[in-house]
Amino acid sequence: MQHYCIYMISLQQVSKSFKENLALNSLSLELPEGEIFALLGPNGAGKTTTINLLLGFLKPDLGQILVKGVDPFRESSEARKSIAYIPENVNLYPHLSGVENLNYFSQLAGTNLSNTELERYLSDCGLQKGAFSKHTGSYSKGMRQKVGIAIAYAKKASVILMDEPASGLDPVASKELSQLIRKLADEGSTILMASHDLFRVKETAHRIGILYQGTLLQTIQADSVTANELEEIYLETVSQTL
Amino acid sequence: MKTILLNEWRIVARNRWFLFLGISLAAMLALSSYLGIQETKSLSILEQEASAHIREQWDNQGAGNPHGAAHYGTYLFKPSSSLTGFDEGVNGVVGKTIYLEGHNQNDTQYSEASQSVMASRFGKLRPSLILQLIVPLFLIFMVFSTVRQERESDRVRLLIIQGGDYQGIISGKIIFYWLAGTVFLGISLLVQVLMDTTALDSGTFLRMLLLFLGYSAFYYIICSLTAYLSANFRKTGTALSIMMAVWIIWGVFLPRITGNLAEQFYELPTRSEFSAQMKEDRSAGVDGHNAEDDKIEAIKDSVLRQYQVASVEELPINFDGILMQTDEDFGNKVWDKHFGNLYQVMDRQKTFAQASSIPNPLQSLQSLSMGLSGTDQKSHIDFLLKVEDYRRQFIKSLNDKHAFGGSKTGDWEWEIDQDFFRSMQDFSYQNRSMDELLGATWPDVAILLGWVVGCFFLIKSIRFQL
Repeated sequence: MQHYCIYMISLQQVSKSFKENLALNSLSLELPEGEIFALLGPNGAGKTTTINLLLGFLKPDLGQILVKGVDPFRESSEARKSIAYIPENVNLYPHLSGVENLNYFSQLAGTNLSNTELERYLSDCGLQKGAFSKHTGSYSKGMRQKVGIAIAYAKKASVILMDEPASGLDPVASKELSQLIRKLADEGSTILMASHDLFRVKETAHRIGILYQGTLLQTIQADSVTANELEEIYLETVSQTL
Repeated sequence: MKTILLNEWRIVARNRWFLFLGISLAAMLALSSYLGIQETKSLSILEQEASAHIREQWDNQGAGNPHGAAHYGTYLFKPSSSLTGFDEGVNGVVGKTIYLEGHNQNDTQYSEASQSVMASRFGKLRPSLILQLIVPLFLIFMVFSTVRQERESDRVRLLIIQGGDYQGIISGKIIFYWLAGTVFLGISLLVQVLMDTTALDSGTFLRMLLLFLGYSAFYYIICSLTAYLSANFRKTGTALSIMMAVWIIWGVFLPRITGNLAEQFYELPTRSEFSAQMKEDRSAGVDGHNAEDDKIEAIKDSVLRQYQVASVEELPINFDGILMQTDEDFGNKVWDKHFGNLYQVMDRQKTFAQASSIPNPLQSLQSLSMGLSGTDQKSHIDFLLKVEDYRRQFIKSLNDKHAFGGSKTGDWEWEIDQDFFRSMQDFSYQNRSMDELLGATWPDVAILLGWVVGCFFLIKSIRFQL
């Protein structure tokens, strides 16, 4: 059932524990259409747990989660229609080409695209034409991330969840990725990305939330601070809780 | 589903190792099918030639004494069913040649296992061996690999978010590899059809169809179990280790354990015990060649009364022939008693083995495969019983001719024209009918079906968990 909601992503007082460990502590977050929100925090802060909750793979212990007005755990099939997911490592089928991978993932999403359309999506996501028909086993991580974004793009997902999407990318690839994420947001997608890369987060996101030990400590407008200021705020905020 | 199947096909077709393994397996199957059929054909030709030679000797023995001919006897060969090349079953160890004579019921002899070290130690390379042990192993590795890769690469989350249903993805993979298994099966059956067109009657086609269904059911079980374990265990090695253990237990240990238990619970007498008991019971009968035998007197009195004469010399028939047949009838009763008991025990052993294969569908498949190929123990016993029926008619015809063909008692030199010997019918063996086969193999079919249904629900219960 779709609830009326002005936010594409809404988390209200969400808590999640794994046995004795509190992974998320009363997290509240609201993302309107077209926003890029970055969850910034060290390993174990609860970023991936938040993404798994939004993907519907985990059930919150407390609180309410809505993605485009739909509870992703209870109505996972419905919610996933509007969600795309880009993991830290987009593991494609290595024996298939970029075009074939995109085609397969698009078919699973119920979209049958022509070869021209598939190539256009890959091209729009920055993949070089010469790589379209090559097996993705020979792709660099950056190229695979681009195919991952093309998969999300082709799905026309209104919500895109990214878990450390730029991790391990070289600066050029990382910058290209930021531009792509911006482009997706400009076209109306709401993006929540988890990262511990301060500089990349500052470059990409509209808002940044500092998450530490499951608690959202602070939310910052990305354009209101420089990268150095963000680093200072982050370190200061985190150290205060130690 | 079509999308998942097509994707799996692309992955397999483009992986050189998978392709190499698949092609090697298919070639091995085609070769074993070819060799099996060729060997069966060659053996059949040899047997036909030998049968024709024996018949020619029989027909051209000239005029002779009928009872002398009963002692001379004849040889029969167990005909190979058209699917012997597919599944050798017990044929390699029980022998195919049987000597028929008066007074004695002989067993088959000259088994291949007694003449070949390879056959006795390893069995023969037949498609059934590859389809029962090697193809499932291949399927275990393939299904394990494809399911596990999705999980370990975390691609599975991407697939699910894209709209793929986890259970549907797993089912698609199961169906793909199950189909691959049936392709291997189809190859060996196709070689059978192409190479052995003369033997392909509707009965054989039906048997092949049931073989196809039986093996297909087993491959579904193997693929489903592997997929279920691979999808549910967090540790990679655990699922594969369990499936390997299952394969070894099903293929090596359980058949031997149930076989040994069946022998313990339903014990057969040793060969020497059995022979001694037979000999003892047999000694209570008349000795047709010994006129001093006391038991002969009672029979003589009965015959004399029947013909209303005072002595055997006055009889219009040959009393010796009657004695021979009486001896034969008694021997038949002794045979029926001892072999009847023996076959009953074997039947109980078979029933026990079938029932105890509930935890082992491979055992059910093996039993079904041998049954449908006409090479199981029951088929062998069926052959022996029909041979014994023929032997009885054969010897009775000779004894009756000796008794009522015109000779007088004590006239052992009396001879009948060779036309009589030529008029005797050859032995012709028909395999068990489909009804008989289905009656004997239904427990195997039921167990396989039960497993298929169980696996179907097992797969239905799969849920993705992080």
